[in-house]
Amino acid sequence: MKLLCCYIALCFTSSIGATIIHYPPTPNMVSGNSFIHPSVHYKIWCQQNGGLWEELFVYEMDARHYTNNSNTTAWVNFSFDGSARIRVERMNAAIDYAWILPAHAGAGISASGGVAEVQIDTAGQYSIEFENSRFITNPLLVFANAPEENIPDSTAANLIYFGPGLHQIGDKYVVPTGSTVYLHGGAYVQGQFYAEDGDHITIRGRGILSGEDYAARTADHMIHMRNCNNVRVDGITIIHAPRFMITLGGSHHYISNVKMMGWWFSTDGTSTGTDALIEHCFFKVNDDAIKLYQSRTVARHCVIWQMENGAVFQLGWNGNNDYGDCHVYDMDIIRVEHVWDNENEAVICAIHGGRGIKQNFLFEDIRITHSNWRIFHLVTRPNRWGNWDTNRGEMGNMIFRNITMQDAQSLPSLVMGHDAMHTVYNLVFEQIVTGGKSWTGARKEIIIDETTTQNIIVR
Amino acid sequence: MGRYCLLLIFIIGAAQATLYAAVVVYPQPAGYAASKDYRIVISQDGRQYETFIYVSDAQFPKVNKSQTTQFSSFSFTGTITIRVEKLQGFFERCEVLPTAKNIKPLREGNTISFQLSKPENLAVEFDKSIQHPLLIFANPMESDIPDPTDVNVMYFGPGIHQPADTIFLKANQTLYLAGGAVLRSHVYGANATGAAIKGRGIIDGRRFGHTHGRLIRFDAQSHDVTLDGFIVLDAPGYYITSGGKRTHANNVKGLGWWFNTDGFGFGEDGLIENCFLKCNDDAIKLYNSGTRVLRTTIWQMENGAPFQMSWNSNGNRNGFLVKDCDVIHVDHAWDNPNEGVFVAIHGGNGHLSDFLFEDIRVENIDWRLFTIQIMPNEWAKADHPGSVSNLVFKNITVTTTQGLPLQRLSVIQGYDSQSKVSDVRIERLTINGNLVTDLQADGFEINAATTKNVFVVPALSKPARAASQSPIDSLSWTNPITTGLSTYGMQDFFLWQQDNLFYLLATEKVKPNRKKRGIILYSSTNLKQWREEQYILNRLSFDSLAWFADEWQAPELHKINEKYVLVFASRNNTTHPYKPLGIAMAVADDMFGPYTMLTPDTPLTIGNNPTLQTDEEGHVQLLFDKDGRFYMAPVDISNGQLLAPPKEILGPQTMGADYRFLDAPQLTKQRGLYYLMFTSFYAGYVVKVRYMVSANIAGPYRFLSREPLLSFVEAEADENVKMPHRNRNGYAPPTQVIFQHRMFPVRGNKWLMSYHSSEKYSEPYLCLEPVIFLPDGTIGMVAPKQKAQLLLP
Repeated sequence: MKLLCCYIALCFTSSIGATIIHYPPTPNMVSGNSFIHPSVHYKIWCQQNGGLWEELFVYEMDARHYTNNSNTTAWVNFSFDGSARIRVERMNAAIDYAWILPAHAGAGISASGGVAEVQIDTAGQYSIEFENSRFITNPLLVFANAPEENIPDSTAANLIYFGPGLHQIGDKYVVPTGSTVYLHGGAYVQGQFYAEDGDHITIRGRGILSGEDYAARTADHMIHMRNCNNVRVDGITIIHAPRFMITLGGSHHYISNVKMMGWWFSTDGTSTGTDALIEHCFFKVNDDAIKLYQSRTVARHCVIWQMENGAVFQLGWNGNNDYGDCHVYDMDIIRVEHVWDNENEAVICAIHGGRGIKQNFLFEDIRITHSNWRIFHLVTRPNRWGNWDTNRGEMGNMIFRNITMQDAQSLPSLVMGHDAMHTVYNLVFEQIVTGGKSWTGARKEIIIDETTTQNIIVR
Repeated sequence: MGRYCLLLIFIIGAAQATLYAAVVVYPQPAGYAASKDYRIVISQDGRQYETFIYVSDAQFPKVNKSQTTQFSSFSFTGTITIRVEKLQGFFERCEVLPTAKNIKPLREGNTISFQLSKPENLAVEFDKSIQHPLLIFANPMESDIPDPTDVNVMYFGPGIHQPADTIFLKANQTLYLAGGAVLRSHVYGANATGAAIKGRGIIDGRRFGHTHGRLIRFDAQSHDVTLDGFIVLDAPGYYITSGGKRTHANNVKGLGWWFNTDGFGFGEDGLIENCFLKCNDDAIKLYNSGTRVLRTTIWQMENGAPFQMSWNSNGNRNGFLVKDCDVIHVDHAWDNPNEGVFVAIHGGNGHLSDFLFEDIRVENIDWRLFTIQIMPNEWAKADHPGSVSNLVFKNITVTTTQGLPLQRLSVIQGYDSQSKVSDVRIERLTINGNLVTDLQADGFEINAATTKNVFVVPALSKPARAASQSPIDSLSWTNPITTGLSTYGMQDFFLWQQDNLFYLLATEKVKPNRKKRGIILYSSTNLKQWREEQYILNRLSFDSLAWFADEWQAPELHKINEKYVLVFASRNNTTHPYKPLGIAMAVADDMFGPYTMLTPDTPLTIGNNPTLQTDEEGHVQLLFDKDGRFYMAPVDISNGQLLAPPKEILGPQTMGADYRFLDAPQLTKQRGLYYLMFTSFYAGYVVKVRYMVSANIAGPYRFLSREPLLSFVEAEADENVKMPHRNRNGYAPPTQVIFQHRMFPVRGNKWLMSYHSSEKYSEPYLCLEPVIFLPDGTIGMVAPKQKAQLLLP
């Protein structure tokens, strides 16, 4: 009897462990729909504990602009516990190279006979790559979510429920204060969410929010909440934004496990209010990924694929208020596609043109692969987004620690103030390594303008 | 300190009395016979010095047109008289080359004489015969003669030295050859950064015959090699190759006879100046980026080109300057493609660009001037040859031996539609005194299918083109205008009309990571099609350390008091990358130049978008923007100086709540009012073009109308590129879409506004719109932001 109990328990556990939750496609996901269609490049199966291989639906969208280096982006989205094996068939080409990023998370990838296999032990976002290049024609992403908790009943109070299927909500779907929007993993929502002066608003689920109905910069941000406190965005995927993915004003915001993929310039990732935490998110965006524009922003444990435009961490073009105390750590920047010497092309960037003082920033444990561009571009400079005050507007007291870039920079980083009233001061660059070389003493990696900066230390 | 210096000079003077003399001649090495043809005596202050004349017999007599080359080398300061006695036979005439030195010898019997007051490398030629040329190397006095006991010095005193077949030089080591010393060895420097060869002696390669070996060679790890004053004689192959960066050859003389006796081939940023080469293969290789050749004289023998740009260069090469050089003989008579003066026979895969040849005089030539050709050749292994672009030949003067036309056509030809020779501009080429105005008619064969934009800029006036536009025609165009403008777009257009032609200057945009070319003048008869007319300023003619070396923005040209005054915002992107721009000023008597920099050392002020306007009292005011505000200061356009510190004339203080970030001011005087037009930014995404007026140039300015002339929002910005680019990111979309609006008069009583198109992903280009001054003094737009535009007669 005791043995039987054990046996039953074991069966039960294993069947739970073998559960990979994935989601049905919506009717619009057909070939020919360039916004979203079944992948024509990849087939993917998933397996747990040596069980059956289950085929996953592979989403794919086409690039939207001339400057995009990828032609498509494909992804799978599932929730799981424990570990899972992923098998990928590359439909149109042989596999002569296979890799998974972030490199430290992958348990090793193997390829033979036209398929690649990799084991995933931790929930997260991964890129499986068959092209050994900074630019990839047909990216493939794996969004391996942790199991969903507290899945709401569709009839619960204060709940706006988008079940499996296609939903068109328009460009200003107002979310009432105190309510939760739930996007089921099988929901495909076309439109944008908006709120004003709200509190305790949550948008979550495993579904997709698409801005495909709006041309670049012709509509609002995908999720835009003005002066709202305690906003939470969790677990969803946002694609085809015409502007920012998420813009939150107010304070106490939490963004977790959101997957954001855009194509246009101005598809910035997150812009949050004071006291915000951004974690476990994925960005493949074509403008600034994470805006550090408000005090006490914490960003951590994210995977970022920066496209040709925008900075990964942007401290701003303007800013008239003093702010700071931001912490960015444990980040995997898996790719930076920068090729232009524009002032917003850097991993950590500021073009400060406002009257505010920005200080107390700590960046640490950042790993950068597939980039050859500069890491830092930290300047004060009058610009058209800022209200330049001839007497005020500086930044300083920042530590950049343990930042490693696989390849060397092909153009130097830059630290420069504008004049004596607009300096950049007290920066410490510590354990910065590019192309295998430590920056200690190697001043050619970074231009430090002596006349407009104070106390810039590289060690 | 001063006292010690004096003492030191006294000691050196006492120890080496010859150093103190103003003429130093050098002893005859044993075994080197003196000339039987010539004798040279130098005189100064009543003292006379006979200088030894070396004789080098032809080594390849079946080909060489000269039977000997004879030469003498000495040093001097002050003024000397040189007397050359011709010992054999009679002569009728004598010339001293280069002709441009304007040395007219006096004759007394069989002796000619002339004076020199500065160092020169000359050829004395009797009856135009080149059988026994006589070269005179009149050097400056030596300085910094190294100490023979210095462990880093290899010192060779007068006499013959043959220590080994090859002398090896190490880093920071100096090989010194005293005058009268002859070293009969190869010299090889490996990893020899900082090494030097100097002195007035000779390195003689005759004993090696024709081995094709390089007589002097430094490897690619040998940087900052210095070569000064010595003579390379009868090399068995290449005279000197030096693969590292920044090789500097000054006053080096090279003589040889064989094929493959190429002259100098240096690595990147090499500098060749005051040298003399008589070679039987390519004299100077313009192979590596940044090579500069200045004040050098070349005698090109039967084979090779004086200036060789490529046989097989792979990878991109750019930034070459050849200036103020003389080619005194070209002995070519074969139909090989390398028989030309300016030559590229480019078979490598590289893109070669940005060559400026300026003030080059070629004499005693009968053959071919240009071979600019892309073709696979025996030295090139590229799968597909590369391309050649942006060659400027400016002030090229050619004189043939007998005043007859050149016997061979110049050839400019690419390889195919991909590998083209493009943007070849010939400015002021004269052949036997005749200005070349039509390439086809004047001996050029230009392959139309494989070249692009090869043209001649004759000179100052444009009567032929100006006549083609009639002022009674209406003009129509479609915005933005791209035809003939830079492939990567242009910003900050400044237009004007003169002699029925339209001209423009603008900020050039270039391919990412490439250098800008300079400030280029464009012209058009119809506003629709533009063409590059000529350089106003050319990067290649600037010192790379100049503060204005390689960034030029928002140029404007104003005719003030019969002078043409150029103002622009500038920077040195190498020494001061990303720093705020400064304002530069240059001036010329003629619109087409040449322009003289009035601000060679420092900018007038930090700022951008400079413009000039004469005030009510006739003073010239400089108006510019800085940090989102406008400033004005009176400026002295003769000396390039501000006459008072700049004052803010528009900004937060003057505008109050109306203030927004301001950009690109322009002043137009009309009906007794100054119209100040500018751009302002509303939170970055909204751009408004407005204007204010004042009766006084310094303000206060007031709005005549609160309505902006034009508004732009970001969503209107162009999404698509206008030009084809080889790769998808082959241009750089701007992050800051700065507009710049300018009004300019046309046809006497009409006005156009110019601006560059809004861009987010796209290249900015020229937009033009008619504007009207309305009776109430306001400015009216005729068809704001419409693509199709029309200006009635």
